[in-house]
Amino acid sequence: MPDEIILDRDLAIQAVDMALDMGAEYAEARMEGAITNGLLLKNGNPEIAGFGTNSGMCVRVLMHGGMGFASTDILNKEKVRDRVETAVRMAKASSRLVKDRIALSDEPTHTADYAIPQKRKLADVGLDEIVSALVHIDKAIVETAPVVNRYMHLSMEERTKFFASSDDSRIGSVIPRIAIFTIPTIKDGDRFAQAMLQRGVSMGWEYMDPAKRAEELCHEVAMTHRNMKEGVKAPSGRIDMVLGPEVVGIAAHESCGHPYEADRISGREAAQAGESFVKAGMMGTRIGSDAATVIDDPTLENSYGFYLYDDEGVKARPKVLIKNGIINEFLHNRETSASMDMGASNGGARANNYDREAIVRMSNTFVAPGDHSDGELLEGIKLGVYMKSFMEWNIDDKRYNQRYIGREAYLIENGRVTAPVRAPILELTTPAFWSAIDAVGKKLEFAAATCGKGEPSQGIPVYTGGPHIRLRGITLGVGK
Amino acid sequence: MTAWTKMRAADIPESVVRKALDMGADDVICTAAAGETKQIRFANNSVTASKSYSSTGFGIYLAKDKRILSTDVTLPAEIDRALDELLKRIKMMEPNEDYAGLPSGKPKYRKQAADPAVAPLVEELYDHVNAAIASALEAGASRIAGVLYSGTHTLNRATSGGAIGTYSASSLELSVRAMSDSESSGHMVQSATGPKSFEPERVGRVAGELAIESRNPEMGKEGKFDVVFSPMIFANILNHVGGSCSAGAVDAGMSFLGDMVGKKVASGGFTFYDDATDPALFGSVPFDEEGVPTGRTCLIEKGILKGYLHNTSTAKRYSTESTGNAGLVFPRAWTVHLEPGSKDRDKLISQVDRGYYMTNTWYTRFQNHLTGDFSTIPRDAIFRIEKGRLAGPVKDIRISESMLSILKNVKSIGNDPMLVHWWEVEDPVVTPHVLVADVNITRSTQ
Repeated sequence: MPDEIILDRDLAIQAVDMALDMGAEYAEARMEGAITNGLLLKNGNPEIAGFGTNSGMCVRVLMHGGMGFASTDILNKEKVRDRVETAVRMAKASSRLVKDRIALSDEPTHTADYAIPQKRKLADVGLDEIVSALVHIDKAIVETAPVVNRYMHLSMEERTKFFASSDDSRIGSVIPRIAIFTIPTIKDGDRFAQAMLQRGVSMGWEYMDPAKRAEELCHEVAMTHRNMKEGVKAPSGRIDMVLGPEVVGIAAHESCGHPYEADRISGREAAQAGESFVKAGMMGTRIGSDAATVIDDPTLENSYGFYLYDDEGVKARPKVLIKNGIINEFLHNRETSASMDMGASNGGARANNYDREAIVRMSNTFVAPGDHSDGELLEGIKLGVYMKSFMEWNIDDKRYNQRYIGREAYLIENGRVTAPVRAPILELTTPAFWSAIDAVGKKLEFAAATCGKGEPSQGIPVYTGGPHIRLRGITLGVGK
Repeated sequence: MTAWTKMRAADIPESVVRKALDMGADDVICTAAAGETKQIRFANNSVTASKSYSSTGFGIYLAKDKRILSTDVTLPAEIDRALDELLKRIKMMEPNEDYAGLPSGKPKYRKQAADPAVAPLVEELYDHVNAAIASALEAGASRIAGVLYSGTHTLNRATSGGAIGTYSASSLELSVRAMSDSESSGHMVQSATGPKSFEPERVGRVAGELAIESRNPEMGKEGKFDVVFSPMIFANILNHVGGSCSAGAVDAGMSFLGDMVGKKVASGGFTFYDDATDPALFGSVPFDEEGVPTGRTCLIEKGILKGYLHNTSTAKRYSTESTGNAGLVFPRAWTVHLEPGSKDRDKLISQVDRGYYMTNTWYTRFQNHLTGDFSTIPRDAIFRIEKGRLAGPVKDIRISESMLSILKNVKSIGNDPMLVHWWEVEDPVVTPHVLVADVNITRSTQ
């Protein structure tokens, strides 16, 4: 298998030209190739490994107000012509059912090439080294706690892209990504606990230091075990809470990032990922306290959600979604920025492969750091709960009612963290969540996640994150 | 040009298997697959995107000295290099001690062919979309969103155990969500194998009617309630039950049904099986990833767990036979069915003094897969039931439960089975309406 992907950029440019020749008013081609490697361990046993190259191209056209998209994994001129014809035919055929003509925002033309440097290229790592790293981590986890089952998966890809549009943008990129996902099941007496742990970055094999990764994951396993074994019942009544970066990150992603996706707000995702309680007219209105600021930033170096140009050729930049409690900006692609008269996209279009449409997505979404030390956040809390990490979570499809159940959590008594608390439940509305924040910590931390959206579903790499934050006057939810 | 490029794609798997064995592999599976799927998305009563996905390729699975490695290639010309790499890299893999080889023999398979009417459809698809939108609007809804898929694919598989199989399949699927205002909506889906049984008007109408019936919802109440689940929502729950019946999920701690064979896991009227053998039903397949013929596997009979879904390796470990459910890695359910009862939906509702009727759900998430503790968020039309009749619509509630409690509290099963497959039900599920007692409902505290 090749150790690097060489894309036939001329073929992508030819596809754009073919589409224009066939009458398309706008055309783009996105060619991608990924070198992939994966390994699955079940209870320490190497179940299966896989490797391969995954290449192909899509074309997207606008014609008579309709949008046509066609993809192929066969990269020759004959097949590409067939795909362009299909995209054009479907765009034309759809136009009779298009009530709102689809348009894209005008954007500057870009010509760029960028790549994330790898100290050790993922494509050069032997399977024996991959097995050895995962087995090392698995053994360390088993030695940490009474783990009765475990599932562990490592995935790596080096993805090469080339984007060409009839606006004359030409953008190439090479992004390596590596991720580890594990679900250890801990049993102690008649109690069970599970932790769903994911780590991921955009960098080379240098990330996979088995000792470092094992130390991180084993800490989570040990804390999950302790919480399950020693945790006391969560207090009732109104209390204050401190949330750790992992919980802050999922809340930023689920109850700020998703409802601020303009395609949800416009109803384009209504039958799949849902709509949003946030309406276009709510821009500039208050949704949270002054302490709440949330940012989505794809440009963070080596982050799991990294990119410098989105999959419509728009230059990436940080988006401030909530600024001091005020709704400040939505996430856009070229279609939503045109339909909402935004002037230009803010670069939120992403696709997880060549055969998927680029839709509005998050990248690295986090609560902006504040000025409190972790100790200062605890000060003044007579009785409270510190929820450091979570297990079960969900949120409704308008992103209004959310719920997080603590995995590692503690009582706070008189300004000090004391006993572990078992499975506290934070179940509240989105405005209540963002309004309850009265203080934000200084230290920003991130977690890797795979965000699901789109039909067919497109799992896409993201960071979620934030510092510790403090919520005042929370009534905890009830369990089953 | 290599020899592979001169060969028909359908003949390649058998030759790949032979060559890999000659090169020293112990076990080989090669699958050739090709197909095209078209998708039309719509929202706000307007088509938002039209797509066509064309794919082709060969999957090669290879075992040597219990080491297992797989790869995919797109073009026949890439096969020789892929085989060289597989044999080279497999030496670096460690043995899978649970691996028990592939089954031997040349089984005969049920014939399955795609409906030839599906592949040429293009303009007609827009007529279906138009019909669905029009009937939902006619029912009174104001904004209609959804997706229509049409697809055809062929698959050829050969294994070193001697299995050689081929089939093709076609599908026409529609999902319609109708809104009548910002807080009321209805959702309906259909998955068919061809245009003859496809009913876009009905799907749109049902979604539209639910949207109208659920206007002006009140806040729901928390507590324990009897709940009548529609097929859309109960399919989501049964999708997770089917997944938990995989022996692979049990072994990985991802099932709430571990160590429970022979034990009561559901109420006495609950019989549940996996069956993908009806070629007229969407999602059916004649053989699994190891070339074993698919069949009907009873998983829960009258509330008692009878066994798990197996591939050859898990079957050996559990001292049983493969059930024809081999997936790419773990055994998987193909299409799970809940055996219907005798009562219609209204009869189930009439049995409830104080409860809810729910028509859809979203985001089922587990606190712990092994204990089956989960929550899920009912969406679209939800109604109170009072004294055996549907009362007003409600919103903003959550089911916070355990899977075993749900199954054990099944009180009555309807007589109206429906196949459900959509965004929140990844594998097809056939289920009627179901009445479950004492379902725990929570909601936001502030």
